[in-house]
Amino acid sequence: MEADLTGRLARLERVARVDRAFFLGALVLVLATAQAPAPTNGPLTVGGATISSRGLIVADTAAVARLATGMDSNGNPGVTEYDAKGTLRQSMFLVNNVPVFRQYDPAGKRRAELFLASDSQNGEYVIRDAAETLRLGMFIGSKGLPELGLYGSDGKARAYLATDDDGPYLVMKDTNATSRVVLGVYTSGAFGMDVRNAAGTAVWTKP
Amino acid sequence: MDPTSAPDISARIARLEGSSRRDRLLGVAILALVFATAQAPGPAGPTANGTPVVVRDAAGASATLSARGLTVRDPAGHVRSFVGIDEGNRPSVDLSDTSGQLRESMYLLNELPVLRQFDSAGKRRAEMRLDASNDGELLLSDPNEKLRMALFRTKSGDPQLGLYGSDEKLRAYFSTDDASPYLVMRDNAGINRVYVGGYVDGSIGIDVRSAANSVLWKAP
Repeated sequence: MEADLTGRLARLERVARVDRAFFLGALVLVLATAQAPAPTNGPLTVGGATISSRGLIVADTAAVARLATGMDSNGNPGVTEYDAKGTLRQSMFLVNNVPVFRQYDPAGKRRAELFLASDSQNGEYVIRDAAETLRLGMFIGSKGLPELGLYGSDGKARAYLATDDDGPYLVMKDTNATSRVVLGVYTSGAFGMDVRNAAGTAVWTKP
Repeated sequence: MDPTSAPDISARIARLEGSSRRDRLLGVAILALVFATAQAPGPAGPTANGTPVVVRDAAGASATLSARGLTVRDPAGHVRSFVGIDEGNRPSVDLSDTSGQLRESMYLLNELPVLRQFDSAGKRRAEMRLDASNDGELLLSDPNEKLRMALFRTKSGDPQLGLYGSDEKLRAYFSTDDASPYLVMRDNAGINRVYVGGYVDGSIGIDVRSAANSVLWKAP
């Protein structure tokens, strides 16, 4: 009887040691694999998408970056889109805290953009030609007046339609920047129109 | 050994043996559960359990990918860009300046697309959008958020450029219908003072009017 009890006790002690080791092992495994939202320092990549501390870049199957969002190397936030050749074609970003939405041609030239002026924070929409010369501008000028401007290939104004609170005015200019047609309100407050010669002298005025 | 206590000890050992078997069974079950649900602690990839993924650099800038989108913060902790679904459940791209002030946003507002630019005071100054009729508009406003310039389509569908005074009232508009275009200039009382282009009777001409809206000159 005593020998039997001693044997059973010895087995129990052995089993207890094994069980203890087993539970300790399980505990180590649980602790080692527990998932906390701990930050990571390295970029994360899923296929062609890479997240770094500065944002997300998505590349196409040819490994060309096609979209990026986040902050650039200067700390300006934005979203940029690239064509299949990797040329920047469209971007929405802040530069020195000023918002810009800009579209580019395949040569990388700025062709259209909507932005706020860096000084007045007035809105502007501009269209440029292939040489990046301004050809059309729609903006609120430095004096706070809204204006539509049309420009020649030399970037000089040929026509503008603007208004102050007294009334609007349309001015047409020649290549020498001389006003040749004026229509609308004059500085006197009167409304009318006139046609001028190349020297800027009125040759016809109404009423 | 006390012979009278042997049965008691035997019973206790039997209970211990039973308890040990149950514990072992429980341990195996726990281990099976751990193996079935544990995840490798390697480089954290996007998780399927809703846990945000944070990537941080030495300077303190960070990007956080959550179920709502991607948020990028600068080293000062200001949110500078967000791409995803905003608090109003709108898909949105938001860019903020170094003080954290929202300065540019592209999103769907009531399911209509809008690109909006704000000044440093948070005022809307420029925006491009589709209106309720899904017609395109380009709007420029002054620091008081008064509309000063607009490109849009009228309710009748005609394209129009409008210029507005600081009172947000129309001063000039240039538009066209299928018959002909027209340019109208108004004074601060809202009176048409210059008219150029097609008249409603189908003729085309030009006239200048007085503050009382009487024609001072007309041609042809």
